[in-house]
Amino acid sequence: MSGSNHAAFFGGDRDTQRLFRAALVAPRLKVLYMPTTKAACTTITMMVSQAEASHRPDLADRVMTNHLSPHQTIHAASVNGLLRLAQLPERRLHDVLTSPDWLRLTSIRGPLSRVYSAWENRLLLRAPGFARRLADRAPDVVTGLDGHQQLDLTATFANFVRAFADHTDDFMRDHHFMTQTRFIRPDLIDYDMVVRVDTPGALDDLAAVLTARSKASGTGARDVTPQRLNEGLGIPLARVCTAADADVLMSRYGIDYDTFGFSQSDARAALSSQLSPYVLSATETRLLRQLRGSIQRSLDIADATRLRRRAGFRAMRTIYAVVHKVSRRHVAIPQRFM
Amino acid sequence: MPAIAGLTLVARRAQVMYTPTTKAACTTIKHMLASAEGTYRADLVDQLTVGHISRGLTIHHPSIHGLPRLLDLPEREQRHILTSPDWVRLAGVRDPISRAYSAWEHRILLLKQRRPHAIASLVPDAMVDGRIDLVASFATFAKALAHHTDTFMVDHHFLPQSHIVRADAIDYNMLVRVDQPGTIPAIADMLHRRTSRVVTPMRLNEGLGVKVSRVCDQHTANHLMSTYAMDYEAFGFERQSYAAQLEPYVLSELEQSLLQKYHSLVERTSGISRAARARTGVKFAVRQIGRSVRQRVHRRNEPVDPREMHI
Repeated sequence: MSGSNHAAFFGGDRDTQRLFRAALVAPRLKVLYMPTTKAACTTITMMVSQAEASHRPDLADRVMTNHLSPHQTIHAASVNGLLRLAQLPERRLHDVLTSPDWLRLTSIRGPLSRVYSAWENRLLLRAPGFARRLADRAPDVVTGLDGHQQLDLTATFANFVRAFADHTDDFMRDHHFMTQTRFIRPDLIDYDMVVRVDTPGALDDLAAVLTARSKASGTGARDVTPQRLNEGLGIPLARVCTAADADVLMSRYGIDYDTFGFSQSDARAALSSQLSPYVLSATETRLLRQLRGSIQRSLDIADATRLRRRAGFRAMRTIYAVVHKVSRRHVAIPQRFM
Repeated sequence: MPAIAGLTLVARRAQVMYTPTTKAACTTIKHMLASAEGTYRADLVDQLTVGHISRGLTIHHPSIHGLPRLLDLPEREQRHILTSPDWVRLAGVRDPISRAYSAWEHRILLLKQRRPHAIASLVPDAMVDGRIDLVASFATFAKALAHHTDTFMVDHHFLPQSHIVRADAIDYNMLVRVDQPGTIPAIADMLHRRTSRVVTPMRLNEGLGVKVSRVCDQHTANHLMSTYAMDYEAFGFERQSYAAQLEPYVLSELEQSLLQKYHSLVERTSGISRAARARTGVKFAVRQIGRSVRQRVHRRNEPVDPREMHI
């Protein structure tokens, strides 16, 4: 990726590199999509990929990233088949970022439900990502004896709120917790379509738009429909989050409320000042722990494979260097090719 | 003998021979034995790419437990181990019905994605409003097991314990009921005495904590007692009574949701594991080098996530 791309369009902003690497481009559809974490990005990436007719589900098993389900491999470039903004030559960037022929798309979600979803995914389930390392700052609250323990979800979430308030910057290094304003930078990218994913029918409307573009561009794709992917556990926010905790969280996402016009009072209205503890059953707690254990195991396998790949390359580089020396031929320095 | 010797493990330092019985605390006992013997390779646990679904289950891999198989030892040594009073010949057994439930829960309920096709078609989940009814599903399994025994017993988790332990062929001097209180600590104490190593029993590969009496009625129990009649005969298990009828045990919405996520994760882990094991050796390294060269030659500027590997 050429550094001059950044300077030309975003003036060397600190988020430029991240934006270039994250933004997806469907060249036949003429869609630029900035996938906002925890705002239906899995579903929308799938729809864009299907509309572009670039989706390669057959490659899902070859992807060594730490996705928790086959559906989530849609985020891998080889599976979604979409380009990244960073891959485009400079002469095309202007077109993609400014032309009325292109649809610049992103999604947003109410910050309170989004941060709850991020907590559930990154801390409760311990999904792979930076925030996993912060789990000990927001420990589980467990009752009962060994073998019959039960997780108090309300108290555990309250621990998270306190930890998040004290270490906001640390949590926001994981982009699942990053403010949406910072993540999608609407001040740098002129979005034509900002989908409020928590509005009923919004994803269906997006699907219709993508289907129409697909037909107009002749990708040959079938109608696109939103699938429910990467859903949460279905726990109502009001069961675990008090109004006071909500105020703490909303204060940290004040910029999102200001930028996108979300209503804090609407978010607070459904919440209580006091809650009865929501304690998981022993079976639910065991299932949760089994899930965490298996997530750790899948991480181990993926990490071990990447380490093995590097070891394999080091071995090959050594062999190449020896062959080069023995042959006494001048060949390109191995490091440039490995 | 070969059928048993292939499973039976030997701890030479502790002078303990152990035949692991599936779904009878074999994960815990193997872990204790390997720890006492000093062969347990905790450092390798996170490097194994075989598709075990938890770190605890990696103990079943030979590179992790480090214990030789009886089968692999010289015949003379095998005979000595099988007859010497200095050796402890250990096996664990468990009430057949609770064992069958444990096997069903692990191999059928939790590892849905790994059900062999022949078995999967015989044990559909019984659903109520999109959630699994454990009582009805377990009953379906027990009936299918009774009528298609050979199909299920390809998986040794469903094999009768008498077929695994073969107490008729091996003179066990420590044949224990692992489902009785105090048994596992007693094994830990025995290993400590023989090796001077402190061995802590760990709760590994536990189930979901569902009581068998809550999901198994008398009709289901009768199927299982018939299927495992040889275990009752060989080990003298008491034939217990169960409720004539049970209320459905339908998973909560959260349990169902967690279970579905678990299924997706198992499917993904299996895929990663298969792909990981294909990425070994010189051929793979050469292909990757070729790919790097092609990228360099074509000056491709793909900001490929280095964590994403594909051929």
